[in-house]
Amino acid sequence: MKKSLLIKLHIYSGLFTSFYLIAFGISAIILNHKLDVEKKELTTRWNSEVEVDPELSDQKLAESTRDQLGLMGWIPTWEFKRINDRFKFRIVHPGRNYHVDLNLNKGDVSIADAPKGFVAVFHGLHFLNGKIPNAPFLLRTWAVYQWFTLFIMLISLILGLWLWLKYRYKPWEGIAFGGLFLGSILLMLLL
Amino acid sequence: MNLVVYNIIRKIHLYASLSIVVFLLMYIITSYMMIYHSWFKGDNDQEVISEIKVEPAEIEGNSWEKFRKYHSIEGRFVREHFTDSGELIKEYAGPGSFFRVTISKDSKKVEIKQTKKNLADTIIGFHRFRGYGGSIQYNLYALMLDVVGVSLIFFAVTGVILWLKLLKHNKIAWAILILGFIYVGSVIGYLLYV
Repeated sequence: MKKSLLIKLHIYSGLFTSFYLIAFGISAIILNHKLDVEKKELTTRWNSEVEVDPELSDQKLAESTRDQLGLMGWIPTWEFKRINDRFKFRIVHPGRNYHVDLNLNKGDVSIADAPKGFVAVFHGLHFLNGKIPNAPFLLRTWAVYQWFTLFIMLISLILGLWLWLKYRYKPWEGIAFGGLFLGSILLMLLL
Repeated sequence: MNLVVYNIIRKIHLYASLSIVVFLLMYIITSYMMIYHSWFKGDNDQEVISEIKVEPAEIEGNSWEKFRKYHSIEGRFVREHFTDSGELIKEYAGPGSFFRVTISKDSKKVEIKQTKKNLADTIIGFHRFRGYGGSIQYNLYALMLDVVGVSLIFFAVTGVILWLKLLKHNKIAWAILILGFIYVGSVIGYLLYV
């Protein structure tokens, strides 16, 4: 295959994955240093009404409330709280926390909204698999994007290595980075 | 961009990628293993529980590390906390194992619960393993993760700069970059504002 074609393929595949790589790089640093990048402030609060089925379990009731409110997100079951006639829980997705307070007798529900902010959303792309309950089509396609991005990243990496070995290889680079390659494997084996 | 600058950027791009090849390959492979986790279901995790009677002096202060090594409690220290009944819980984790050590309130009994992960989960454990602390290999691994993070950013940014030099007028390349930006931007925008 011609060198110019290989370079083009390497560039196309690199451009396709560039945004994901930047998000992944920033997220890796955030995770490694356990940085808390989520904003916690409640920005808005609103009220609504839902139908309450007293027969439902806590989890089903929380899911039913979320669906009636048209909200997107997971519901951490370990945060369920029942206080007298009130049922409190949280709905969460990479961009938001919704704190929900439901009146079990009347069906009145109060929702406090806490957006997590840009850095948290950017970081959240690392974990996004498109399978958030009630997610729209756009977010569900992320699973496909992620799958292709990983595959194309692999191709880009192999092409880049091939171009280096074929056209730009210098012995000292081979020794230095070959050593780092083996050292990295050894480090993993020692964990 | 003159040739000297171009060559420096090309070297940064090359060295940033070469320095993290193993980690990048590991992350790509383990990402697919996580996506298709059900395909890699191996044996169940194994749990081994042992109870040891001790004298408080054997596990207090500097003696703890000696006790830990003697009883092969491996992994990086994760956290410790007291239960409501006053027991002290210490947790240690590695890519393939997890130790939960429970020390009784009177410091005379230690329960060591070891969870050994199966092969697939151990490999995935490398993907999830992170953070500083513990012995030198854990800190080196954490340092490499920082190198990976920084290299990925440099790698992507220098790649775009090199493309602008080499194929600035290539319409396919522009289309890929713009479509990628619009798609990722739309996902971020949706998560932020909707």
